[in-house]
Amino acid sequence: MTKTYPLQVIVGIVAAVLVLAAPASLRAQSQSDDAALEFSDLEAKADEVVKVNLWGRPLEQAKKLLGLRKNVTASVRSFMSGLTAVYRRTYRFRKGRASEDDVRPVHQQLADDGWVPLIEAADRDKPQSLSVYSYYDNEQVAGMTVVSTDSDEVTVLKIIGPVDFEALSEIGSGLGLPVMNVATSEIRKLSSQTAGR
Amino acid sequence: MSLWDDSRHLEQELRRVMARSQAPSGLGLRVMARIRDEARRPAGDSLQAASSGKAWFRGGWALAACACVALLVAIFAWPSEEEGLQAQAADMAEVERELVEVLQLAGSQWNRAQELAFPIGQDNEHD
Amino acid sequence: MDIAPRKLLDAALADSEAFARIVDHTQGMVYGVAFGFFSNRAIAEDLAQEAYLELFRNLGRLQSDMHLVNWLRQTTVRKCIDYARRKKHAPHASLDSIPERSVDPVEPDPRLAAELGRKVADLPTKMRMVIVLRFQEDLKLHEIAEALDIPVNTVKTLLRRALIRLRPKVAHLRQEVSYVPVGR
Repeated sequence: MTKTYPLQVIVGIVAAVLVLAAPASLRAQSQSDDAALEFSDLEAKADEVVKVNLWGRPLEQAKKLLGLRKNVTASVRSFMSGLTAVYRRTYRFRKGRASEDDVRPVHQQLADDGWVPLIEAADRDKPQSLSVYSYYDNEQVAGMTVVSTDSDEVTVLKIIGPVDFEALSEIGSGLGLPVMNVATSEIRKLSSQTAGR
Repeated sequence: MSLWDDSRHLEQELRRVMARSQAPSGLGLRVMARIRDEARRPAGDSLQAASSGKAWFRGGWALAACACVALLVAIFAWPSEEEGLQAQAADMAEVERELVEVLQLAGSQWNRAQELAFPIGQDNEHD
Repeated sequence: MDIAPRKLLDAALADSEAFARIVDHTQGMVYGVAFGFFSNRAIAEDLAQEAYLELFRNLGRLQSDMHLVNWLRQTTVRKCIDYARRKKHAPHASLDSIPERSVDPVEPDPRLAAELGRKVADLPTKMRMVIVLRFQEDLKLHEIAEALDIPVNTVKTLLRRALIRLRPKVAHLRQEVSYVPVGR
């Protein structure tokens, strides 16, 4: 066994050097998520697909631009500054809807990648379900993914970076960010559901 | 109201669920048999020495595996200069709008998920 | 244990019956911590035996009988964490093991107990141990810090994060439970 020690010492040093030299491991992961966020079955079935991949320099510049605007609260500014990647996949269906079998690979992939379910909720009156997952890195929340399944669409949102849920809630309530006329059908739908309660 | 306010109830649940499990019968006897066995071993044949050597051996290979994975990630996932240039050429206003849209959508869905998980009828419990 | 300094330890050095008495008095805690952490009888018993073996090897070095319980707890905690890291043990609590934990006269909902036990088992190593020591062993924060050999503030942080991770899931379960018909 003594013969193996020098090899392991060398390997240990190499590992330490790599760990020190790679502080952007999360960024690396976020980019690999880019490829991991392809759901061919859903895509084949959908009539409309929206894909947003934001990371690296575009994201940094968008954060910088947003940070310069008025009406961005300190908590939202701080939350945004930590983001390393943002992804969106929306699959819309004009006729029919995604079956459970279509959505299952999404949940399976998240579970396989180490995402932990945080909230799994379903509306008892409408065919809507929401699953919120979080990702932990060194015992800290390092990202969140929301999978929403509606009667006519499935959306997967992935945010990589430390998540401030209070700030996210603030943003979701229409606060903390400037008004940019970005009310999508999903947001309008969610707003009306919220107002209706 | 915050989702995280209701700590007292959770702590009560945890205390109830995490009640200590009783030691199996005969554990003391088995421990003593092992201790007597240990006492009969020659000093140089220490279990501790053997296991710490194994732990070190395993630790070394765990480090080796980490190093390989880290190296592969660094090689294949590091952003290329081309990607950076593409990004620079992108319409920044559009990118900013997309960022806001995704964050607002995520925020709305987060709030909605909380509403579904914590219906209004339970608000008093959390407040 | 209300005993004079090293009386029990010295007795255990000289006599195996005295050592057996130490085992008898402390096995509930030692096994309890290991089982609480792994939810696995075989692993818990094996680690308990390892902890006592280490005690046997260190009987002459312990300062006093007063340190015995803390030392054993610290050793058990360390062995659990080492084992979890070494074996990359995924402590998915088996459904049949969870209800056994409860000795409370007010029986918790079995679904909640099983689910909460599973969620605790899924926590990262140190967080899980903090939960076991806090809610099963009922230790104070500084005692947990001593057992884990980490600062009290780190214990507070781990505890807070663990509760954050458990809370929404538990709240969700409570919501489900509230739909059970009253006449059940």
